[in-house]
Amino acid sequence: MAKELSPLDIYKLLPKTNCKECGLENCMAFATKLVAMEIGLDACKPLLTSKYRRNREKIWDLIKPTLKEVVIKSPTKEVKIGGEYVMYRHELTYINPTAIAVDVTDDLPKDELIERVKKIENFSYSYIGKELKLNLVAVRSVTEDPEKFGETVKTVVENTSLPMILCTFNPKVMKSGLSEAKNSKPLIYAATKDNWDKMGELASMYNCPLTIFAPNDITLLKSLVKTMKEYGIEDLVLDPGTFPGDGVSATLNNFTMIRRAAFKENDELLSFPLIGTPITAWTQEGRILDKKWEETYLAGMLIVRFADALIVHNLEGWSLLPQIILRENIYTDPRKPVAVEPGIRTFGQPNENSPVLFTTNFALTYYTVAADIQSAKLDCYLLVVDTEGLSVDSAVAGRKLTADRVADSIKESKIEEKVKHRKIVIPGRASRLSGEIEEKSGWKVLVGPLDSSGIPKFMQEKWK
Amino acid sequence: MSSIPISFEKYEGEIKEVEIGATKTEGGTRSYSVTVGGDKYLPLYSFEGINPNPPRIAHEVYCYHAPLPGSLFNFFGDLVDNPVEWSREAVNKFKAEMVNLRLTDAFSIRNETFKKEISNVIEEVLQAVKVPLLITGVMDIIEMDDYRKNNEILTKSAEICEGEKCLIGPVYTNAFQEIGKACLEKKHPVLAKTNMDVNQALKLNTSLLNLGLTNKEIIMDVTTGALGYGIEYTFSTLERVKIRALRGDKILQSPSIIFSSESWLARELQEEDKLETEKTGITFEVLTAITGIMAGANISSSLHPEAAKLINEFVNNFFNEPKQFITVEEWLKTR
Repeated sequence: MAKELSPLDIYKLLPKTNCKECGLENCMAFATKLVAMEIGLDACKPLLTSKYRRNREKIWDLIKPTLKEVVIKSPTKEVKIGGEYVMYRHELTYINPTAIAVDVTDDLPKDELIERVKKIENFSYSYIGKELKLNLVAVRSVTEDPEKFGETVKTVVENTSLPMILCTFNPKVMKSGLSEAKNSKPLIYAATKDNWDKMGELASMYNCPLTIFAPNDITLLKSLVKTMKEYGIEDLVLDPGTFPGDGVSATLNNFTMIRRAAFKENDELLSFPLIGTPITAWTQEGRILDKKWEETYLAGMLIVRFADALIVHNLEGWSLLPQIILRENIYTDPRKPVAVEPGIRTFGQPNENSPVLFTTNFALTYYTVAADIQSAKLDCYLLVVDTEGLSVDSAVAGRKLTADRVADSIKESKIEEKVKHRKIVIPGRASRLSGEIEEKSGWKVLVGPLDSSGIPKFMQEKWK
Repeated sequence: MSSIPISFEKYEGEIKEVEIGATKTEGGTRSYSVTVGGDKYLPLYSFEGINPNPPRIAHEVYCYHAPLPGSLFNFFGDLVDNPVEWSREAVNKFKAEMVNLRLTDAFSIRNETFKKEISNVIEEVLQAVKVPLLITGVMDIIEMDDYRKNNEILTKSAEICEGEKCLIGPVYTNAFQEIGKACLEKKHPVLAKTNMDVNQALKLNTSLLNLGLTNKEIIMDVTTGALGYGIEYTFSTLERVKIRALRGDKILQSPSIIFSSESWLARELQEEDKLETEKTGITFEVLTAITGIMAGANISSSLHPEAAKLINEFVNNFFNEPKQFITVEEWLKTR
């Protein structure tokens, strides 16, 4: 997208009827939000009609991301990869988080296969108000037996709603897998210099996105992409190879060079999502634990450096949890303040005798405290004080959290109408404000734990 | 390497080299010194060019009241509260190239009786290990008085370590003079800490340069949090500072540091009885460090020796000549 794009460039292509169907006052407001990427193009319904088809295409050309967005689908879920506008997140924001796939193989006994697939689907972690999850199942053919692969794909489809990546270089085996993936668009992995014609045919026939695999050879990668595009296949994903051990440098170089070619050179043949395969760590000799470590840090490296999808093998929490948190962090929109609305929140079914606690409106702090209250199944009120999105420590040090502000929040929240008592639990890290808060608010202060994980125990012992 | 026509950025600037640790010939007692920085290209992009000094790791040793979660207490055992022995173990057993002596947190520095003891500890550690040292004071300012305590304890440290070229800090935008002057006089590099803001980093570096220090005597800590707790800010600030320095902003042309040890503050790691907390923590630390290193950190201050080992392994892979790539196709069929 051109950085200097003005809302006027968009406005002149809009219907200019001010129909408000997009939820905004007028077409100019829509144009402004569209340029700021705060609303999607599809929100403008009239543009979807045939009358405006050409205008819509023109607008799309103005606002489309540099990187092609590719969609991988199951009958009920879709995973978008790519679709990025910038090389570095501080230049704007990243859009589609790295999709993480965990593998299953076609030599697994059916019960083990089902168990693993369920584990992949159910892997979940609550983190600041969000459920972090894995996104894809990568089905690998280790048997190269079309029948076995087909059966495996069938079982996977029956047991998960997650979209798939189908992995084999053998077109016959791939075809068998694709024929079992009904109403889906699995990602085909992969076309190589040896099988590209057959894989290209399959991608066309089944209308599925296709991975181009050219290990450590970007020239080959480009020529295969060119061939596929001439063939009419546009939904492509690139794999320049993920090399463990001392190949890690080449891996990072290839990923970076491809991304730089896309963003700085406008190289259309390389403006596609990238897939990394940290699972290659398992092909090395050595201790299993070493392979697990290496797979983990390769994944970390590629989440930070440009991978739009990853395939890993290890399904243990110690390896995956840090990966999905890293992904969540890197894909956080740097333009948005990480704050929640100040005010009063209720947990459980509080009554007039229920405890009142307070915390700051820094999202990370708020959701951490909220999660601890929820897991303790407390019935209580939580007063969220506006600290301009700062944590307790920083807010106290920077005078954004003061006794005055707490006293004002108590008053504004009207909590005094909800409870009979006048006792408030304050964060342990705000302990030095306790006297002043009592003075300004007239409430009695109980100094809570330094970390909110101590809330359940604290409430049990101290709240009478 | 495959060739594609891509534009190589031409960098006007380069990061200055900072030396930590003075050997006998330089007037100290360290058995070697470590040079960090000197970057001419973005970190680890060897297609642009190879930077002269790989990122280095300092092993952390806490004086007292180490803020460790249960799994780390178990791991370090008797070494906790025994900083001299801990330093020795870090060097001899865990092969630490540098030791970061953390003079513990603000809460305990507030306790006057520790001060004298801390001086003794520094002297004993200087005797016990001969690797270059980092000496870090109050990293978590909670009230104004913490600045005074930090000044006091670090100024004292600069005196005790005269001639050793220890990296001493943090200094802050509103509390840099005393420590800065002491380091200038006693010839120590300074750790300059700001909070995830390029302009703050510029401001503090400018102050230190005005004081008479040079970019060869400053290491910047522009980070704010580890994995799960603000690493996105850490990452982007490090990256912006590095890109800006390489593009020619002279004021920012000093190396950077990341504290992967911060990872252990993550709440995911506080439950003592939870299975595999230690392994999860090591992973948090490794991912924090490599994220920081990729964005431009020249030093990682790390806590768990296994994490330090893995970070080292990751970094070394970039500086070894590749032998023979394995055929990566094999993973498809690996059972």
